[in-house]
Amino acid sequence: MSALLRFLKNSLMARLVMTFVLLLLLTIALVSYLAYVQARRSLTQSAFERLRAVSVLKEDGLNRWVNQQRLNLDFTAWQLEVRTQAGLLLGETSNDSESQSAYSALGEYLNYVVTSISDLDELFILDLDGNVLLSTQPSREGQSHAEDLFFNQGLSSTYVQPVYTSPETNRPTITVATPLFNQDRRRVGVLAGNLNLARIDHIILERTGLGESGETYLVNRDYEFVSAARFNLQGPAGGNVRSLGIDLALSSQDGAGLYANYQGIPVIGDYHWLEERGVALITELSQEEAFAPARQLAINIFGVGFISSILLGGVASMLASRIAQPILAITHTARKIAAGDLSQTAPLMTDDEVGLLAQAFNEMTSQLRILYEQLEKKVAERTNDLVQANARLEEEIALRVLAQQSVQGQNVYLEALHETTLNLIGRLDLKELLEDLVRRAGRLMNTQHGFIIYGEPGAEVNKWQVGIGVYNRLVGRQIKPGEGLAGKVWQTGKPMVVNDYDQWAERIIDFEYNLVSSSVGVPLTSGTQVVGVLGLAYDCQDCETYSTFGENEIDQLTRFAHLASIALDNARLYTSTKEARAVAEAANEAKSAFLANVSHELRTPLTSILGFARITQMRLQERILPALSMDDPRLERVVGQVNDNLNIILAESNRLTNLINDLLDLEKISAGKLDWQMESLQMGEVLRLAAAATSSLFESKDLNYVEEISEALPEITGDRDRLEQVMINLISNAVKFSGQGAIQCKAYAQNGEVVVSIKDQGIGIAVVDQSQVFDKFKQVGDTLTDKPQGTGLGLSICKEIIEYHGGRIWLESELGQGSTFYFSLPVGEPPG
Amino acid sequence: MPSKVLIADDEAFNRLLIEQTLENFEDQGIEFLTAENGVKALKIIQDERPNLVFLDVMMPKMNGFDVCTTIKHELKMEGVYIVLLTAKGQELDRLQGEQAGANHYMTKPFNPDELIAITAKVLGL
Repeated sequence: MSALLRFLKNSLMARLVMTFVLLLLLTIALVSYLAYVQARRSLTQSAFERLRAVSVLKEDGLNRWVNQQRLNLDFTAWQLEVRTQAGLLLGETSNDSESQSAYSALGEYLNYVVTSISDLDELFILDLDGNVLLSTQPSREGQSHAEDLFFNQGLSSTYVQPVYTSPETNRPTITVATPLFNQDRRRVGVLAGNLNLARIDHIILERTGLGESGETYLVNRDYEFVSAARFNLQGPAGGNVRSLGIDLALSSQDGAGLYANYQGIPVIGDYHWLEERGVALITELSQEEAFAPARQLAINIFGVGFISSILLGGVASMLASRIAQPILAITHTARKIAAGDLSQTAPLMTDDEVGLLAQAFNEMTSQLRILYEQLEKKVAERTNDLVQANARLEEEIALRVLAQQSVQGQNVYLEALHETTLNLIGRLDLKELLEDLVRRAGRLMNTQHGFIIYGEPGAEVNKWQVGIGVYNRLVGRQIKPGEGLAGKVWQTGKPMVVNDYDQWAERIIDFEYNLVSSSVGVPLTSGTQVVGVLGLAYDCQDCETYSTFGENEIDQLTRFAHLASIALDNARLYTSTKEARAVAEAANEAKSAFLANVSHELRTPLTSILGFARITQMRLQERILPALSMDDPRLERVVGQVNDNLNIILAESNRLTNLINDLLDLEKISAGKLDWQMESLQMGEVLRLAAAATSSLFESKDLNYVEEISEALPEITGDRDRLEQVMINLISNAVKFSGQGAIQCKAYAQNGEVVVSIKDQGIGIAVVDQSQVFDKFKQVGDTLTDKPQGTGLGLSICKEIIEYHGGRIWLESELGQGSTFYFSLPVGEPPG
Repeated sequence: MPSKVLIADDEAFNRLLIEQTLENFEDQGIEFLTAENGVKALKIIQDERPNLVFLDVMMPKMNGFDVCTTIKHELKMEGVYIVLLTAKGQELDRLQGEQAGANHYMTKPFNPDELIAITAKVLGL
């Protein structure tokens, strides 16, 4: 369906043809419908007339038949014999035997009549009271019909009763009655007869030109068939024969119309009420049959029309294509032109509007062609101009390219140089650097063979450090000054080129010389001395192209070597520095390990000395002394001596121990090996701790301790134990060098520092000695006369500790007046 | 039950010194045990369960730190008071001693009075 729609959309002609055909069909349909309607109408009219005619005919026939029977009855009643017998039968004067013979004679006669006249079903005689005295149907004899219409009417004149349903037979009946006279013309009774209605079937049913479906029938007021229906002898059950026509007729309306009959079949019917007969006469003809001609007409019209439209449609499409063809031809040509072929022309197929279009189209095309040609000519001219200009440009470019090539060579070199500089700046590994340099040099000169000999300044022999290409196998080989190209450059310090190295008289013999042709060497310097040579060589394969090292190349290489020299120098320096530092560090480590070991070794015998001296003293005091009698003063003296000696041993041992400890401390601090436990602390606390620790010293001497710690002292960061050590040391010194008086400790804040001072009233320190106070092992006084007290390391250690904390330690003193030792500590974090 | 004290030191003089220093305690029912190397010391501690151990740090076969670590951290022995003795006085060693689980740390040469005091305290005498 959609394909069809698409087809219609795309084709104008198809749309035209289709529209035309559809309209045609529509018209034909309309026409045939109108024709049908019209035909039907006229057919109806003629049908009505036909039916009417038939109806009239039938009515007439029926009436004539009835009249005939009337006449029969009349005739029978008028027979003299009948009258005579009737008089005898019905007369009052008759006796029984006369009545009896009259009865049988009449009976015989009536039977004869009934038998002869088939239209009569029955004849019977009634007396003036309406009782049936004689009948051809013996069962009727004795009945009274006094109420019946036919009797009452029959008394006066011949009467035909309208059709009614006989109570006896329960069938439609017509009864005719006539007055019965005797021979004297005196009425004696009534002669009545029932008609055989079957006889009228024949009249009614006869078609008389109504067609196959035509039907005539009689219906009574009880909606029963009076005549046998042609198609349905019985009729619908219960006698309920109804239709519009029947209804109308039975309501005494005569007419004709179109309706559905008792069987529901659409018919044209004429319906007529027969008053005298008391029945409706219906004459019908099926509409189908009646209108068949109309239908046929319509069909014929439509058929013809349809075929015509098909044919005409065909003709129309032919015409359409006739129109479409030239248009399509033009379209086709247009496409070709659009594709580029301007020589195409549209065919002139017709003289009509399409032909005009084709003509105009062709004119347009030729105009286009002309314009196009003009345009092409202009383009060609321009192109020519451009080509000439281009040729000129190319000449210029060729010139420029030549110039640039030489510049490029320079650029490549500068770039390599730049890159080298950047890279070499960071290089500190000597071996790596040498490798890198020889490769770069090789790339720079585009050679595959290169080497570097490098050594210490002033060395007698040099060595091949790195080599690429054929020089690789020379690595490690020693070289003497003047030996080969490298040796000569090293010796002279001047660049040198040897072309045809393989034929050079002074070449190195054990070298595979025939693989290199042109070779060059430039010196590498450290300061003013030549310490190595950078060399490159072209492969002999390039002998064909005969690459050589020209002045330009030597120049570039020299510059490169200059850079390389600096880099190498740096690397060497770094290495030696590193080595030196490593050596120094190793030495330091060795010293620390040595000292740690020594201290251990020293302490071990000390433990014994100290320990046993003490035990000996204890034994002496606890066990021996009490056991001795103290009478002998000499013994007392000896024992006292022994005790003193032991004290001396103990004291000296202690001093030795302190010395070792101090020595180790100092070494650890200066070597940076001390484990500092830095924390935020209050100097006030440290002062108090130190005071507590040294309290015993004050007790033994006649000295006071005064403390002055300012409030809201800021916190400092330091090693609590070490600072305590400093305090203890300073206080101990103050006690040691004071005879009497007070020792004053102060702590206060000043200029972002916490300052602590320890002031004594002791002997003081001479100005000349003050500068050496914090030196190692320096003790005040003449070393010969004054026995050194303490280790002499204490203040050095204090200095180290304070300075580690980022503080300062100093003193103020006057000989004989006492000394004040100060140290400061920065508030908060120590610097660095 | 008599208290046991173990003296572990590779130097004979040191063992003697400590023993003599604590001689007075012998009257109060102290049994002295000795060991001259770390392995022996460990064994004695495990077998005899001494209440107090003087453990020299520098000993052959197994040093004092290791013995202490084994006793305190691996075997988790309770009721053994370990005093580490050493000629080294560095803070690092003190820390190492703490990490080994030692109850006390004394540097040589040590104060005999301190030795006596600690013994008295530990043994409740």
